[in-house]
Amino acid sequence: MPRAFELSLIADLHRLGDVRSFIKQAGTALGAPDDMVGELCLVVDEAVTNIVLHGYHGAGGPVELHVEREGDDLVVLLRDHAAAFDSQGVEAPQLDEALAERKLGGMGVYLIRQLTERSETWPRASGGNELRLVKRVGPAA
Amino acid sequence: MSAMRILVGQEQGKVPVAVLKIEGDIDAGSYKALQDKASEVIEAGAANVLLDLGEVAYMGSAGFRAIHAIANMLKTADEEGIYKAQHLKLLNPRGEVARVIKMLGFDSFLEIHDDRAAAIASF
Repeated sequence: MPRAFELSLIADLHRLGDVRSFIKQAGTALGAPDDMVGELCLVVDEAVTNIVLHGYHGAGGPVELHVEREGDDLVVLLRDHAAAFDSQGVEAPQLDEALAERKLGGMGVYLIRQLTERSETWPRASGGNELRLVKRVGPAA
Repeated sequence: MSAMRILVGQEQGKVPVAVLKIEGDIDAGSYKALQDKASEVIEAGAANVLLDLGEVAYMGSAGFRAIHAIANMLKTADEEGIYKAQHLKLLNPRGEVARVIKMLGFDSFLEIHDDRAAAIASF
């Protein structure tokens, strides 16, 4: 069984299904249970959406994904070639506010925070950004 | 992982209800089509909308953004001070979609039904 999975693509909002298919295949092959794989698909979809919208301003751009298992965790690295942007600084929605009062947006970052153990982002020396997402999935099945 | 499709139907309960049956995945690439279809139906006169999510395997935050926007389009003055939306309801969210609805607190503001007839009658 491969220990790591990689995908390079020119990501835009119409390639998100391909990203989810890749994560589903990699997560399942790395022994994560279906519900954890589903949550990881959601988290990575939201992260790539943020890269496309905030890093590449809605246009397509290169994204490399690397998925591997570290003990009980699946670790996903996402590398882009966009200018630095801080999706971590996005304000999370006030979930107890009535829907009409809530601001639109901010839910993607909230979901990433809720469904991962850690998410860290830093600029790459060669340009672009690296985002590291860590999801606890338990021992390999 | 499949492209999104929306089927629009009309049912008569106590009031007319537009039923938008969504098939496929709702993500940042497809949510706008849902929002636009709902907007078109509402502009054509629909005052009550039921979103049938029974065939939606995946919905990311963009889908929730669309639902939020549709709830705002349908909001009427008689709802002031009422916590739950009166004119937008959800039918049959499955698995992870249902879990994320709860995680984002949308179940506090939107009625969620698992029976189509009961959902239509509730408007």
